[in-house]
Amino acid sequence: MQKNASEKAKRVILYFCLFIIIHGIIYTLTKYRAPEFALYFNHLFIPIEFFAISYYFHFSFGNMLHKRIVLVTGLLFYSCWLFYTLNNPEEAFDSTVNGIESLIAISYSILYFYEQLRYPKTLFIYMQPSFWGVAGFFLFFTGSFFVFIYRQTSETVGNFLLQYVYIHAIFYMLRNILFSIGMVMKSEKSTLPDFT
Amino acid sequence: MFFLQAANTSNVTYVVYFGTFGMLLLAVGLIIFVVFHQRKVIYFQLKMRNMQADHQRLLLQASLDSQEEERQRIAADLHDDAGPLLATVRLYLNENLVHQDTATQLQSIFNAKQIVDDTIQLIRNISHSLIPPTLKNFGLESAMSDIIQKINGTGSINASCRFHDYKRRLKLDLELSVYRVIQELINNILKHSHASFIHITQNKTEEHFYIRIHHDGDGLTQTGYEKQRDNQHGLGLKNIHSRIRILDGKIFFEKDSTNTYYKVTIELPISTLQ
Repeated sequence: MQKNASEKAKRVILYFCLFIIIHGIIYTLTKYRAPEFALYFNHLFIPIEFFAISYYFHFSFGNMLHKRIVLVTGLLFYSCWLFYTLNNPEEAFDSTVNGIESLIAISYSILYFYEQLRYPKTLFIYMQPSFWGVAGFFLFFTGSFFVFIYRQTSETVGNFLLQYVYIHAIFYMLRNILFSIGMVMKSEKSTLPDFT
Repeated sequence: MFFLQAANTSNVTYVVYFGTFGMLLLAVGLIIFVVFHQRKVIYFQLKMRNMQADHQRLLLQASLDSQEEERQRIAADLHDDAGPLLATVRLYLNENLVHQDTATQLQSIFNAKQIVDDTIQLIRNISHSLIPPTLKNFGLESAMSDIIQKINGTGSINASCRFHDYKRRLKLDLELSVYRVIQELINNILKHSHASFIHITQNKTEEHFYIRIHHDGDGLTQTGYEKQRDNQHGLGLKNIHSRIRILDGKIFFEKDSTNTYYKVTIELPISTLQ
């Protein structure tokens, strides 16, 4: 059961990474040729990304209450996304929605770490593939949090956009490296060593 | 809000860099903390599990030792007392008896009968030590009164017993367990405490069944009890502990606040006794 969940979580990460690549290609190709399509297509990025995050954490959590928290938070987030998108359909990037998404992902990560401390499954937490995925999300969203919340208001200020690209790219790469470590790890059902 | 609306280029740059750096520092710190602390938690849990296993092993060993001790005592009683008596009966009733005169025959038969009676009494005593007949027939209260009478009979100590709420008897096996615990505690008081009185009371609430033993000798406090119980030699206390655990109960050793007497409280949940 545990191994199965771990495999599913890995698959979620794989599809998520593929989606980001495809999204990037389509967005780049249509940005100048069909800007309206690109804008609406871009609006779909956040809900799909959030879906992947929620799905991943849903499989990574062991506690039923935490799984339910993911479902409830998901519903709240989608309501919020719908509200902001309908109110600002012309905005290519919404800092509020991105900020909320980052905070939720950070909270999920902290909840995951708390769960690992409260009900440890292995002696070394980093022997679990899910740890690397969570660490990837955690570092990416904590690192990008400030650039996300400033982007909408400060896009035109000085060389902010360049800073945004650098910082975002660094954490994007870091996240993918951590994801890769998680992907290549074997998802074995871990047992605690017996020292008797 | 002020920061979010900052229009100044350097302000935004500083906030973004410091904010990102601070968040990253916190995130990395948290991950490192989780990695190390989680290992500590697991070591602690394993240590606790091992300690519990050791404790269980000690209790099991104590229970086996006590069973073995009881078997040896019964074997010794049968071998040393019943064996020679029956051998003597055999001597009286040997084959030569038919060749002897009637008076000798009658005397031999009478002697043999006497010895058989003694043997019956001996076997009865052994069986009574396994389960006291008073306890079996009349219950815990009467069995305790019996013990108290015997203690008072020695004249060296004043003992009393009062059961406040014992209208319905417990099941025999539970009564026997409680009886054995009280018996062991009284034995310990008589052997080690130099008390001048022992007073036993029984009480009941809706949830718990209580037996309290008060005495004015040198007693044990809870820490002393736990220390001696975990000691390799505290067989009696280990037996008390394992019997109480089987009954899902608790035992408390306290010293009265006036320092005049010690109190042992046995607390058993009603749910397990019914």
